[in-house]
Amino acid sequence: MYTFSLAFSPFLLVVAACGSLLGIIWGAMPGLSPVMAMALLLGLTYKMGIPVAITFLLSCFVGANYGGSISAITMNIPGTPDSVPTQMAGFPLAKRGQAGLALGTALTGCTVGSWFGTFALIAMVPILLDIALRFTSWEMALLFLWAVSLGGALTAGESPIKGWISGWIGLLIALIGREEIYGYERFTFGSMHLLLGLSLVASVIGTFGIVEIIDSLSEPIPYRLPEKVGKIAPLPREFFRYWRSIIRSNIVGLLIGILPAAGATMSAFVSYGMGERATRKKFSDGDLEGIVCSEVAGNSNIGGALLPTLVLGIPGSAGTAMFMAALNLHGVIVGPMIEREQPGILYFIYGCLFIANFAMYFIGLAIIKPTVRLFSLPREILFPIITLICVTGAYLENSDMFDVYVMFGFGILALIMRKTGFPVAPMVLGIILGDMLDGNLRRAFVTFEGMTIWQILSSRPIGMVLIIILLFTFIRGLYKKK
Amino acid sequence: MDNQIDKNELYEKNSMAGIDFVSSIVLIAFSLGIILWSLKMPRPGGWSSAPGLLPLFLGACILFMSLSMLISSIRNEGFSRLITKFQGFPLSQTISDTKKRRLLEITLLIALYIFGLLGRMPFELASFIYLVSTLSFFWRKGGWKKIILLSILVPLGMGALFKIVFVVIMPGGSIFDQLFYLKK
Repeated sequence: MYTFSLAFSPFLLVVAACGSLLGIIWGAMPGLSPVMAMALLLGLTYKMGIPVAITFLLSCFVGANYGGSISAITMNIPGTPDSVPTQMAGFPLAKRGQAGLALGTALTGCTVGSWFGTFALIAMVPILLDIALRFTSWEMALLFLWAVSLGGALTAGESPIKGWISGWIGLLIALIGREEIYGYERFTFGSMHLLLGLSLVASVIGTFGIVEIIDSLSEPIPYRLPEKVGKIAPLPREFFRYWRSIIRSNIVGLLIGILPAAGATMSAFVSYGMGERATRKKFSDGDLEGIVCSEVAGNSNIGGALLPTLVLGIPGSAGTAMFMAALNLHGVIVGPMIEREQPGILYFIYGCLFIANFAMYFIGLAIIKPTVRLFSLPREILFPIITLICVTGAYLENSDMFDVYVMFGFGILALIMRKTGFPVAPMVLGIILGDMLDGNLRRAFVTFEGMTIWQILSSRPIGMVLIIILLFTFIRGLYKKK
Repeated sequence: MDNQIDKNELYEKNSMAGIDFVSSIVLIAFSLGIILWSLKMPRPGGWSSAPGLLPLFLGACILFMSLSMLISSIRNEGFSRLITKFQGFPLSQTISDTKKRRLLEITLLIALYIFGLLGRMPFELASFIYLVSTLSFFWRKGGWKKIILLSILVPLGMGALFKIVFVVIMPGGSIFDQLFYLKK
């Protein structure tokens, strides 16, 4: 019989600390995502008991989500795709000598987001699931389209068209491979390597990692982060003066998290975009509030994503899908019968999330100073070493050298885009969401067959609202240009 | 001062107009290719579930947006600025530019590591060669001893971590594979 308090036993606290530390280090390495960490650690947990395995994996997952922001802020290379908005707001701060404070704010944001997500997971299960189930293929397709459009409008500065083109190209890249309805091979040129599409991990590492290495080392005197760490943890009143952004980001992260497969990346982008619009600030000039928006949403998403995973057996994100696989490996079948089959396990998982959040905060705080010192090493030393990590990260997903070539290709493409004024972040968001957009859009159109446009719009109020928001995003982007 | 900033902004805007001209033409060609390709895709259940539906929509959007970029670039005299830019920067000057030369060097070194070394020899050896050459190019003041020490320790440490702790396959295999083999 599992209980909430079981998670607070001294041994499991130590396990949580180890898992968090491993997760933070893993997430901080470019390309080594929380999902990959879960996948690799799955084997390690095989011989552990269920409580130890759950505590270890959840702590590692929560820690890796924060770890992604370390390399994003200190190296301008996001450790995970969802830390791209953190990179945009945090790296300019690091260059100004505020890396410690930026990391401290990211950590506090992660913790607040995780706590909110956990509480919501405990308190609001029926309401949130009801909202999630109202999102059918049509609404999901519109939501994905809006996220890419918003990402394009936000990151392109004065030329949103370039941002949208970048996002649309990302969506097209995601369509490479065998499509899910008829099994038709799109844009594969007959290559076996392209049948399953291009690796997301490799494309993210290339787009952000390789391009940063090439660009930085091409400077006659590469920049160097100031070694002085200064203040790290923001005071509560300093952090909570962004209370509006905190509340908004928590809600955004949670709502996107409960939608199947939407994930932390989309939450972070949408929350960052909404934050920039609401505050009328340009986060990409370096702003702590931008980090708050991105990190809070990215982590409240974990609680949200666990909801459909545990209660319905539908993974809310790739990471929770891996967690689901881990539970299955240990004989725990998630879904509506979970509480009957394993009494108390849901409460034990909530308890694990609590201690994982504690462990992430204290360990994260303890390693900020050494982390900043490490990453303030001259770029001429750091970046050649980071190349090795990038290559390993790209290779590990499928153990295929083709992914490493893809990574290099994306590095060159991103370099060209950087030089020609096209933002790369919308392209990455497009690559992440493209396949899901395609499947949902076509499924929705099949269900709409025989209906008039008016019937479609009137029968789908959420879809109607999303269409209005989508049009508003385009019009506002074009208006801003002028 | 403000005048100087305005001049710089104007210069950048003018130079971007030329780049936009080329980018938009490349994108128009790309989007037309995507549209044609999408139209050729099969439609067993009609357009609603056709594999070419989303690519067609995206191709059309990119075409429309690139045309808008092209018109805006032509309005800002993008084509003539492009010609002027090319005439003002002969190839010899481009090669002698330190930043561009360094960009070419690091790109070639990474390409050599990925296409020439990785997968053809153990990860640690390929990485050692890459690190020695890159560090000696970009970190000359480090001195040979430090460069060689770092180039040995980092790949060995990574190989040990990934091979022994995470038990994964490294690109080109790892020297630790041999150790495991001998142990068995």
